[in-house]
Amino acid sequence: MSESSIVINGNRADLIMKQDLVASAVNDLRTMMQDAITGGVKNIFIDMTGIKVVDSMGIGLLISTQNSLSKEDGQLEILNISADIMDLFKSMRLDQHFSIKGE
Amino acid sequence: MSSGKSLNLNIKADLKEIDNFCMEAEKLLRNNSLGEYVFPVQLLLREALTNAVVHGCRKQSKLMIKCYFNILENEIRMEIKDPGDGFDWKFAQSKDYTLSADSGRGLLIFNKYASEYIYNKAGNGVLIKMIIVQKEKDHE
Repeated sequence: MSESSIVINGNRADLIMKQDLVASAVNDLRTMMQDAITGGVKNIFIDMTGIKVVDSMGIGLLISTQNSLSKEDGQLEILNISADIMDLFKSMRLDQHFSIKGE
Repeated sequence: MSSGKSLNLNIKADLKEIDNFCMEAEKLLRNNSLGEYVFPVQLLLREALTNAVVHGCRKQSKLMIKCYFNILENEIRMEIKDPGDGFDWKFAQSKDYTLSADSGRGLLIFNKYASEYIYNKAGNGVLIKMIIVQKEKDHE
């Protein structure tokens, strides 16, 4: 089970990450966010305070989530990412795909 | 088997095993005053191991993956080998990806963080090297 939690308020969901966004965590998080989108959520905010690593499967999850939200005219926003992860995301131009804010 | 500077383990083809191996590698780096390499090494190890678990072993946890991690004087070496049919890395390298594609970024991570990476002929093993940048000694 995922150690992270999601708080849904109307069409907004806040995901509080408690584990690194890596392959072993992706399935649970995907289910969590997909259930929220199916339930009517249009905007997801992910708080990455304390998250040390995001691997390519984690990046894939963020992109597929943004792809799903944009079909609903919604968006994904990533908050409080570390400098290392910001550098990784920018090198892949992910800041052009969804909103990213550093710590 | 492990020592103060190396890990040589066979792990099950299970995603949770990747977390455990990376945690051990992190401990080794920190014990050798190489904490600044934890982030890139974790990314490189995770990409190689995830490929081995997902593609090489198709998540069959009865299969085993050989993992070798070694801190040398001037470089960090990681070698991962799975029993699968191999990964067509040349094809993957030649592929361009679109911004909205939700896969295909593993080699971008290798290109960004590794000093060098070499796949074996079969494509089921990869050696990754990362140069350790020597710090200048403080002048008294």
